[in-house]
Amino acid sequence: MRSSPLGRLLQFEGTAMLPNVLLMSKLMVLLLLAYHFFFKIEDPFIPFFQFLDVFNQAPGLFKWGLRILFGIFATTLFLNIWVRTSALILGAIVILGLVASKPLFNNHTFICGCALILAGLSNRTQPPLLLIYQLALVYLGASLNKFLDPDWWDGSFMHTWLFEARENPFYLTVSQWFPERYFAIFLSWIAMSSELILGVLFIFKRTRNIGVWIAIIFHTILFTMTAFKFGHFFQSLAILLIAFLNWPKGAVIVQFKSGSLKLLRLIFSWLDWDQKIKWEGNLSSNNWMVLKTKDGQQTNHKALKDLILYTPLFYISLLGLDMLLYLIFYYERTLLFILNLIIYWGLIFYFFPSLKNQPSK
Amino acid sequence: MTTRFKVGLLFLAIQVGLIVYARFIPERFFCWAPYDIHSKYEIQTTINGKLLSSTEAEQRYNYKSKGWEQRSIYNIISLVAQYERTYGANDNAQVEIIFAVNGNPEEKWTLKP
Repeated sequence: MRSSPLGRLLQFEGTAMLPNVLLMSKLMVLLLLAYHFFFKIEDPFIPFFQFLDVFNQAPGLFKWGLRILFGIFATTLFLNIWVRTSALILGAIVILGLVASKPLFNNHTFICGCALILAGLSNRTQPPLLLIYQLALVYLGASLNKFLDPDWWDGSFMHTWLFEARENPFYLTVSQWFPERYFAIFLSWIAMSSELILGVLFIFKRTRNIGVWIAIIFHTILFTMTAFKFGHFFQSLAILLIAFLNWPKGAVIVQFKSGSLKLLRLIFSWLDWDQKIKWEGNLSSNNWMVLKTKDGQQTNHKALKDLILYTPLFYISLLGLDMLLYLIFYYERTLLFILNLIIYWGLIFYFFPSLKNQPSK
Repeated sequence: MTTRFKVGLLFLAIQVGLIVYARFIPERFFCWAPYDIHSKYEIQTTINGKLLSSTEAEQRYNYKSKGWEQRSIYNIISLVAQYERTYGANDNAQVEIIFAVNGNPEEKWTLKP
């Protein structure tokens, strides 16, 4: 079963990509499909390069050519065949689709295309530095655009967006407590500074993990305040951050006391399609669980958290749950928002690293 | 440094170039400028003396004809101008885009046949 084509969908080890980069790539394609990108691929219409209009001499050629290629290489990617080439071509199709149509352009699709291209240019022996630098570039570019715009210094953008355009309840309430535009200016400078800091943190290896958590918390606060995911940029970013994980090489050994953790072992036997986890019921210390990788070991709850984070189906399930909730509560947006907040903040508080129980070698 | 890595660096360098290039033009495409400008706008297109409805204008440009735009307003101006210069060149359309950027005073962009 696990070596069948269906099994390959859920396996991420043993390919030309790092497992977490392959996972990121598959999830990125799923996200694009969920947001109907496949059906948005059309013949060139007001393209960025006017020579693309030549394809309109043969209606349907460009559209169906790209859609067929997208279908083929999405299939090969999901089945772990030519994974790097597949990701590269899929990313190129996404960007070509945007280049062929100015009305279609948006940044939350562009980041997906960039991530897939750079995943296709990565390998399984080196950290995915290109993806890391891409995210740094996104934040640095965004902060530069804002710092050079006077409407960000005086809060004009923030006030127009939150007060006039969205009539954001949080902003409407809190801004009344302060003199005019003070809160808008405060939010503006927080946003600009955060993006600049994030861009810098991602560049350097020592500060990358801090950058990841600041990015997660920053965007979740943004969602909490605005109930807005900026198209699917929120999800695109979360998926891209999977590439930042320090994915364990080789087997993951979980030691437990004989006869214990039966439910946990049963659950992970369903989730571990790569058969990466080796269970050893010979633990004799006071700990109830020890997780060992080549990078070190963790105990008890920290071990359980790492075990979850190293399980690809955890992320697939999260994305699936996010999409399912959206479909079920499509007409109950307030309830959907509350459920999203509970899940997102619950995950943040559960996985936020504590200062205790640091990894030991 | 592998060839793939070098190609990746080139891909990133192109994006850096586009960010710099965006400093010299009003449009904000492919330069990581998401949600830094918020403009209220309306496109009014007149062909042979007949003002197109919102729906007709949306169908013409494949983009919403009025509302809020969270990227540069010049992105919209660019696509409208290109349409009228190419696909709509024989329609002799007259287009006005009325817009206000980040709550600033209203402005108007006009395209005449």
